[in-house]
Amino acid sequence: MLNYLRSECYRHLRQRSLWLFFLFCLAVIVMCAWSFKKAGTAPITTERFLNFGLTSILLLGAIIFSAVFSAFVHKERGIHVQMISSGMTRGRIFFGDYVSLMLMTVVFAAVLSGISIAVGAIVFPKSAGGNLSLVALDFLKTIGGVCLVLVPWNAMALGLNYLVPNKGAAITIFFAVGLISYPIVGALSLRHEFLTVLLEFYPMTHLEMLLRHSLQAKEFTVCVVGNLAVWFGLGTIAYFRREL
Amino acid sequence: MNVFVRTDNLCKKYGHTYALRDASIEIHQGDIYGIVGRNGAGKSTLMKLITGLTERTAGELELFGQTEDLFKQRRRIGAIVETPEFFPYFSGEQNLEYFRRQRGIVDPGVVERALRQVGLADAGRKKFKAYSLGMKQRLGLALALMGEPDVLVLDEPVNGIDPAGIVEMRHLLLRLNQEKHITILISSHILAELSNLATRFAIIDQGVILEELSAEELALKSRAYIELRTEQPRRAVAILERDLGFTQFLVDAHGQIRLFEGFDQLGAISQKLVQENVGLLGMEQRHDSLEDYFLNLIGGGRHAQLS
Repeated sequence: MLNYLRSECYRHLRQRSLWLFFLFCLAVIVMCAWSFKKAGTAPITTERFLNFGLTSILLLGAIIFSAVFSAFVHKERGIHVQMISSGMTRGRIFFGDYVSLMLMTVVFAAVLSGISIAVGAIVFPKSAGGNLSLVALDFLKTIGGVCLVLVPWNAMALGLNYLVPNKGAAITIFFAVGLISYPIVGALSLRHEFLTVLLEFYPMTHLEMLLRHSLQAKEFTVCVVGNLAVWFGLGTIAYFRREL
Repeated sequence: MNVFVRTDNLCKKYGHTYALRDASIEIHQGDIYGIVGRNGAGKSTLMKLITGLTERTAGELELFGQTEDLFKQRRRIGAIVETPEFFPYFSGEQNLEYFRRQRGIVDPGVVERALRQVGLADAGRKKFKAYSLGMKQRLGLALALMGEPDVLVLDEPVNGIDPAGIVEMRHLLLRLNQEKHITILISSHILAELSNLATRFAIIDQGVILEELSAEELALKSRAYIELRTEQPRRAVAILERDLGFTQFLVDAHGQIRLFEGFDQLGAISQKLVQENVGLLGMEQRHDSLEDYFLNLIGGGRHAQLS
């Protein structure tokens, strides 16, 4: 597994599209800081910038990270042929891809959050009596939450990539299932009790909880385990049955 | 001699159709084992079963004497199945480096050595997407060689390679077999190419292995004949029959005569034809190639399709 992760790390660090995506995310952070600075009559502090602005962007960005990075991680059929014919098991490839996806998204979120703190500290004044280290700690806690939220989102993204061989189709289904169907199921859950239970499994439910700073451990665990079971199950069944 | 690969009544079924039925072969250490068959005959299916790319429906597969834990045994195999694919945005060197790390090969020098071995040392830094089909095949072979395998499984490795490249590839494979003692399983529909390379053959058609034989056995089975080209084939046939007493011959549509006897009477045949003013244009002793033998084996109407 370690060798697999080493090779994936080698590949990702040399992928130009990944660096372009990183630059895009940096630009979003800088634009966000700039718009916060320009807009609003009340003076914006570092604390407000991090908590109300970037936290929301990073939390919602987690969904995009899952979609984008799962596409980066997923390999074409011919590469799978090379790996399996050299004695690598499909199980190792699938779980190696999941660990690789988690590592990439978590490192990416962590680096961007570090940059956000730096930008916040440089651009905005501290609030009266505010302590920057406490603000940063609070912000990093939120990022920790983002990393946890990535567990089910990444499981869904990877599972779909293995279920649907076409990357574009997999991403489309990912957004349709993860985002678009969420408010629909939410509205219908008022009439059907089954949908209320289903709603608990939606990674979006827990992302909303994080945004409201009201994440509940029990519900979150159910969501993580449920999503891992469903998407790993579907993904591995599809992969193990696929003729290469 | 050790048996490196053994299949026993190996079957692969897609829906209700057999892609491979009751395939039983043995590949011994040091063999260059050629699988000869037309497109869709079941060659790739057999290779995919050996390399673990597809699961067998029935039968036994033994690698290096083991029937269990085949994934571990497959680490001793280097393979090219179909046209090799790599990351298009990486150079050949970067692609091999990726797989070197993945396979846990400590020595970074293996990448350069593998590229040099297949004649891609100068193109190692070129992006894979700019590679020609022949270069892709060579890079696939470089990858297959990188782990210093005991067995090479090569599914139509000369596809897309120019004639000079095919000769180079043949020499390379012979060198690997003779100097590094690598056992090779190779398939091709370019039958003449295999007859110059393989030491053992399996002839496959419609998923069934029709025959398994050694190069020596094949040589014995291939029919030797004397090819005669004359200006007057009808007269020549009459002379062969009436004056020389031959009965085993064929005349093809172009008027060429194939005589299947009288190999020790070449001088007498030519002398008689010249005496009778038949106009002898050429006379040559030949024997059927692997293609001819294969076509005869699968026989019937399909012969015409192939030729």
